[in-house]
Amino acid sequence: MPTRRLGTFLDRHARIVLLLPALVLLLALFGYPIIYTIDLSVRNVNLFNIQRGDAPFVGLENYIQVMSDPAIWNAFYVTVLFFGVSLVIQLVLGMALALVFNRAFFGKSVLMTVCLIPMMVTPIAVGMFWRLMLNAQWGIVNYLLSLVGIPPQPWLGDTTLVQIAVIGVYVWLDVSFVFLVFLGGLTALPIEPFEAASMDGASALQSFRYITLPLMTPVILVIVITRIIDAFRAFDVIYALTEGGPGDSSRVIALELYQIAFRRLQYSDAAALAILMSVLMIVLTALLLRAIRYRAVAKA
Amino acid sequence: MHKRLVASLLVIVVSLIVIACAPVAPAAPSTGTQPTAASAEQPTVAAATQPAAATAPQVTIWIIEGPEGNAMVKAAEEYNKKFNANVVVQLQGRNTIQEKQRTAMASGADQPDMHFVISPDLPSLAAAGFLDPWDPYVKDHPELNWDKDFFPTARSESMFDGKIYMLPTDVTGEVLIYNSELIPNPPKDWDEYLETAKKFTKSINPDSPTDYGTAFGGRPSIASESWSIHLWSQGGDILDDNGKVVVDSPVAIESFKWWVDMMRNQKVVPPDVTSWAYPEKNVALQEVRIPMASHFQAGLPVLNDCAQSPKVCGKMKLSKNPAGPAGSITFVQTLGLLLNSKSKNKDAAADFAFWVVSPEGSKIFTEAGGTSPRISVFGDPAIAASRGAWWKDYEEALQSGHGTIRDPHASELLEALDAQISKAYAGQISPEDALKQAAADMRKILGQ
Repeated sequence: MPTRRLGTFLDRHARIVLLLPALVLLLALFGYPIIYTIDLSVRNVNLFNIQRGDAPFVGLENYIQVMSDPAIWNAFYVTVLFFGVSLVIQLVLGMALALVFNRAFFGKSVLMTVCLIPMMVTPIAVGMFWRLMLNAQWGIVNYLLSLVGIPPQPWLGDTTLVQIAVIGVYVWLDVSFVFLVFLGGLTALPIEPFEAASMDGASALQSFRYITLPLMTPVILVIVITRIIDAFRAFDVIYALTEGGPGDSSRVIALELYQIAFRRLQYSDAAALAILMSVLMIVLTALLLRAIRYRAVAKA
Repeated sequence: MHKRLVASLLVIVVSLIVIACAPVAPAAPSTGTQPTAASAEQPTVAAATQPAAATAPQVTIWIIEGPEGNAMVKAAEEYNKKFNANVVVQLQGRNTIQEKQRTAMASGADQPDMHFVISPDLPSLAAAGFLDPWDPYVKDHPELNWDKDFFPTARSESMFDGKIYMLPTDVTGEVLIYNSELIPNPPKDWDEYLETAKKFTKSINPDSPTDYGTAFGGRPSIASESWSIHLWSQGGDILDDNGKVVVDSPVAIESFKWWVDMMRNQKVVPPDVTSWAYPEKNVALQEVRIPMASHFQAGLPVLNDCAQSPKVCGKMKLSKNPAGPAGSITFVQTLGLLLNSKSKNKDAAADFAFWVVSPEGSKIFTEAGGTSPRISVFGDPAIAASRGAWWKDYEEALQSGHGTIRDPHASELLEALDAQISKAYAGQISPEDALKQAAADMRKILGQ
């Protein structure tokens, strides 16, 4: 009898039973750390009291402290600058590459593999080898520039040049991802609108402007969402490349978070900043998803 | 029926996975060379031990990879062989070990039994209660000869609150490393240093065989290190003997102005030195881009190895740093073993730790590539012969060693100082404002 009852229960609640293991795992792996981080952010936990577990409750004090720290705002500005500029360049280059690779030509597969190489390299290694390549004395970048008569530039030693260098590295690193997503989007586009436009005498530029771009908008928004999330997570490349220097000219928000947690050892401040960053990312992502959904509804 | 079958199968599979992943009781100590559970989880970890007795408790050590780690592996092998013990050395990445150690200790983990750390980290870890002092074991180990056979800086750097928390196995010092073919007589004071640097800077002297006269590590996390040597030689300091912040004293401000002027106005150092650390200095010396640098002595064997440094091998020498009114000061960092207060094998850990810093263990450690701070090891003729002529000069330089901040908040204080110093290097603020701001931030941290 109990076996039959269990069978009936499983029949009725099969979906829940099937989902349960995954839900439990999700709660354990994501839920607990989030709750712990929130708890950390409203206490005053540092290296000296973390093991005792008697850190006092301070409410929103850590959030206020973080929000009023000029270094955080500088890091926020640097993050937006780096990823805003590099995103625009990546979108343009990625689309250009995708348009080129969307047609057949000799050696396409080989070239495509070459274009995807940056995606395969570990970010920390990217930071390390660009640090060597951008060295003012023996870096290959200055050597190549010297071949066209440009004197050596202190790429990592000047507050302006370092920003150009970091943006360049991020473009190199991430353009292949943008290109790949664009290429996927282009291959999925319906052929009929392009045939109709061609019959109406539309030029290639007009087809791109009035058909390709509007149809690709959801793809662009997806790229923007992933890049925003990446922007707030970006740490390893900049850590290896500049450590945020010179001065604070390349100190991005994730690097600031690392400094607060692992050099200042102020775990609660770091937790508060992490929560604020997460909230900001969620809000931005929600807005962009809403925009995608709005377009889909309008189109329907 | 079908749904029920699928669900039942799924439950069984999940149960099996959960059972398979469940923690198991620790196995008996291994009798072969194999990674521990911790090492299996960490890609940077390597284990190296000789076969050990099945009954010996396993003692684990986390240590940085490189010469120190390799020397510890070798010492552990000798120890395991000699005492039929089971010491496992786990190598960790140099850039991540500090965070891993702090996180492991903060979590209250009983593994590893011992941490190999650099001296500035010691006060914070001891003050947080993560460590046990070695003092209770000292009386059982007269061979330690603590007061007589260790360099004074190594001793002071190993202590906190009057107790020995670190058994020092290694010492590293930032000294003047120079190309003796270009500079037969190294500069004795800072004026000579600047003049020599100008002579070897191409923009000042077009006949210079090198691009720039000197260099230092100016990356944000180490921005204050090299300047500290100049500061101490001028009689200044970051904190005074009572722990009071004095980094904005007139002496310190003058010293820092001189240092930044050398970099930004005299332009005798490469313009991107703000991104430089140990590797860049090594390459610049190897490639004869600079003739001298304030550099860690660990670079010297590489620079004098003709396979690695064909342009400069045999020409690179070491000297004391240029002197100021307070003399010539060597920036010294001591490294050694700390005892995890949660360790379950404290006695076995202590047995190995005291052996590896004993005259016998220190010699084995040094022969394997480490640098023991034992004075008798420096005087050992076999070791001196194997290291070369610079070994004696290095011993002399260590006599005037100076460590960095000795305070539980050292990491936080140095972060505050480095942040402002880095801004001055970048020209974002003046040297004076940088030190004043750093001092204000440091006083806030210390509640002064």
